[in-house]
Amino acid sequence: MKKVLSVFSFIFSIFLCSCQLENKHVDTNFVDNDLFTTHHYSIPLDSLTGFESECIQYLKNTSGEQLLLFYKRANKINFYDFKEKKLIKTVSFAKEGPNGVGTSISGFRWVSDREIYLSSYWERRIYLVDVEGNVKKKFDIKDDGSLKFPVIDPNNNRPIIKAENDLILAGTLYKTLPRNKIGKPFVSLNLKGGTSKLVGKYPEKIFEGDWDIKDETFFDFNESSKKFIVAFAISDSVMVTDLKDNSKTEHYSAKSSFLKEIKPLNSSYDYEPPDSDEANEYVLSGTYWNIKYDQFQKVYYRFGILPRTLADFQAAIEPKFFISVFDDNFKPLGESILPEGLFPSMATITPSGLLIPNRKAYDKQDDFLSFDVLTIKKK
Amino acid sequence: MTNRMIFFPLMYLQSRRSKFFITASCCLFMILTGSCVKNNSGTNQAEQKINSYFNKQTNADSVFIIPATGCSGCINKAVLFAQKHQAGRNRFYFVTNIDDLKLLKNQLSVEPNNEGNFYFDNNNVLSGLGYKDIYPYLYIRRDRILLSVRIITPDFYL
Repeated sequence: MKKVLSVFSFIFSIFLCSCQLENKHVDTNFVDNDLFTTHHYSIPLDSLTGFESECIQYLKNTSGEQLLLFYKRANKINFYDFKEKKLIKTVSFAKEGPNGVGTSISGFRWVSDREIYLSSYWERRIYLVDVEGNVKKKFDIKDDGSLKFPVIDPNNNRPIIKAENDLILAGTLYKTLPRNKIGKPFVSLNLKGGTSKLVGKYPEKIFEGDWDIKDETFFDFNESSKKFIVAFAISDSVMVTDLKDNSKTEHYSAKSSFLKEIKPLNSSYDYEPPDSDEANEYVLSGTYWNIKYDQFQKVYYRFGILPRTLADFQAAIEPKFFISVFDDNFKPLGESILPEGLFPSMATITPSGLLIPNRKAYDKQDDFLSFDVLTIKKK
Repeated sequence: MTNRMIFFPLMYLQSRRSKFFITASCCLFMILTGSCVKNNSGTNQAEQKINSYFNKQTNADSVFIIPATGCSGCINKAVLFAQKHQAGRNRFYFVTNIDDLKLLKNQLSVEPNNEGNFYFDNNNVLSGLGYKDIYPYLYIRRDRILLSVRIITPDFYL
């Protein structure tokens, strides 16, 4: 009996130790990290503006440095003077009427005050508007009804990019589609002719089965090389491509040690719901998230969502994110768990560093949007 | 409504077959009552658990659960109702799944006098008690005992 008890105590103590180790791993303090230095930056919010902006654009032009934030609920873009941290102007878009753009604008791209593109999710339409909110032109994205087009949903993680006379847009994949039904992840809209075509390519892994909620496409654009950096929620690797010639697409491993291999929820397309344990494991196992190219520090940031426990999920505790950093050739420079409250979906690259909004700071003081600004430590 | 429609049942009650009619009516009444009782006991364990939690907050007979995110048409219906009917002791609004408290408070425009009729579940307590839905709910209670639970959809009559 004593032997049995000792064996059990031994196993129990090993279990406790492993739990403590795991906690220690998750609670890594970001500020003390070897990778980054952090400082804070904040801009004021008016009484009708909340935390989440679906799409953010940093720009530098003759008027100086500006930070543009789009708010879907209010159908407006707030223009901030980046240096002065002051709201310069708000451009609101009508929901109905001759200048109406509907209620489902998900992303925008400012090219000039006369040329702002808005993407409407439900209408599958691009509006060309000016800074007064006037609609100057509309472009309908017409697919052929084959379901081969992605669900177009530009946002901060897959911006609208203007490349010469084309607008490049991406979204989420139609779910549970076999190989012959899946098209390409990007839509290229020709602004002169108004026609659209599919470009780019999915990773082979997409054909392995039903990816359910992990169906996101993320990308960023490297202005100097004129190449897109494409990452998928399910895939360890990333692609660097001009989207024109798929045979020239370069593949790089951008795997994180925080995630195990991501497998499909269901390897068939029979629409049979998985059992609850299988579904829980799939949802809780974590995933890759957005990718950003930092042209000022010449590095890539790839974010991901850490695996969660069922208890945390049931208690609706927000998931934690991690960040992996790679140099220009995708050589890993390090990775780190982000502190609770940082929201990478709104991450923005600026000359001052990588801006990541801090939800906890907002919850304490909701008349400011505060960012943690991360810069790579020089070695 | 015509006189014929009103008096015909009364005349019928006075007829020779009135005993049968009264017995049938009683049966119907009992069946209806029975179905109500079934509805009471038909609330599930999670709902009873949530109701016990509500009992710590309020004695109101109508407790609304309003998720801040989910079915937008359904939520709008509940929010509009909450905006219009903030006052009164017999209604309580439990707002959960809150993504942005500042915007939500702006939307609801709760007057200071009525703040006691609202609870903002910032820590997602309700989720821990089993509420994981995208729909608003109405908990109908009497003396803090849960009678039934209704889902509020855009066509729900409030």
